[in-house]
Amino acid sequence: PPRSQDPERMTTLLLRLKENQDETVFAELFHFFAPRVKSYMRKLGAPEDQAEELAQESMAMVWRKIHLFDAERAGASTWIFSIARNLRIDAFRRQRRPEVLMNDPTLVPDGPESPEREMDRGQQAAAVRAALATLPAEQARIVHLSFFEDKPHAVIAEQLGIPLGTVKSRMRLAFQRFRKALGEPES
Amino acid sequence: MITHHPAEELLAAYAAGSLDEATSLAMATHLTLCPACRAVHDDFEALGGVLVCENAADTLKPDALAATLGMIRAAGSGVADSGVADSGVATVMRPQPSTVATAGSSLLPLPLQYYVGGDLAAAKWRPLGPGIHHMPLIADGAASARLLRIAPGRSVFEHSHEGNEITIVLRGSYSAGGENFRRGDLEMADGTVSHRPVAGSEDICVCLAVTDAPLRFGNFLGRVMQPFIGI
Ligand SMILES: [Zn+2]
Ligand SMILES: [Zn+2]
Repeated sequence: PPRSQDPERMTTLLLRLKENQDETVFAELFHFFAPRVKSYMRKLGAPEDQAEELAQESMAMVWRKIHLFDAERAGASTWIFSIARNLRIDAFRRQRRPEVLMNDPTLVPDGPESPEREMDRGQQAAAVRAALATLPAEQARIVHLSFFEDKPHAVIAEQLGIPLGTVKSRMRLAFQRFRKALGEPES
Repeated sequence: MITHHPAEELLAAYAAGSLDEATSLAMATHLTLCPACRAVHDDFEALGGVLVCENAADTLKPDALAATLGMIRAAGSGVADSGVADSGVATVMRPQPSTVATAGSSLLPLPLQYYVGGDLAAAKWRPLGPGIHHMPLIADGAASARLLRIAPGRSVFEHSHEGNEITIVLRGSYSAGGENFRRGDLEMADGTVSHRPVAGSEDICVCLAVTDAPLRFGNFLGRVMQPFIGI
């Protein structure tokens, strides 16, 4: 259903779930995200059963961690992606993913954000989608592969039948172009 | 002011979750100290979210929602968390409360303190060479992470790398290849680089070093030392 694809609506639903752990609200989130998280897990190599399990666990984690959801920092899709990604790392590799902690006394705080940046906070997903659409097909493919293939760049190169150096330089170009399309300064 | 940053594709790989644990630790350490790269990383996480949403939806088992709600209720009624790594919501790497230094005096970012067992004072140093100590943190075959402590003005042996080496300064400074690296700065060296980092004379230099292949030492002493120090 088109309205489920609206990232703003998903963020609103998460905020409602945060306010009041309501199973109807959760069900709507579940129907949108769980099938997509399952597909993400399967593309990264999980067999059918494990992909289903990880999708369910990711959504259970959404419920359990909802008090930590901060719409100022991340939209719904970003937050749920990070949950699914971390469950995948744990399940596939039995490894941790060391992360930045916002309560870290050594954290160097953000500088004053540019007005531009503040504006697209709320609509980050839409801005990202628009930026992605400006990439030439081959760069979009590389960006896609780098999120959906848990493989070293050398293996990706072999699959695409192009030299490793070319994969690396295309990847760099694709990510730079993506960031430029988002209106970010070159880092 | 941080002037040396990781390449964008490395931040993207960290956001995608395709880096090994040691390299992820380097990214978390740099990102704690570098708001500019945090913003880049946030964009890449948002990209991951968009890609997952655009992903064709799989079919779930008919009872998937009911099963998930069952899981939630079971956990709510006192069953312990399944022990899985936490979500992207920043509670995984919290070290034991007693080992966390108070604000203002901490030197090591928390993701690093988890591996060290506390702040810098908790590090268990082993001698590595004249004026150099280290503390291995992660060695999982694919990549290794260690803390390095170099006495003021001392240098690491001239060496090159078979794979990639990432170095992040945590205290003091060092210079290599005509460039100066200070707290938060990240140096990336690959197989084409041969260098000889020299610690600044003002203080000891403490770094996080992550390598994904053994180093190759160029000089005789380095080659003799290598089997002993095992890096
Ligand atoms: Zn940076
Ligand atoms: Zn080196």
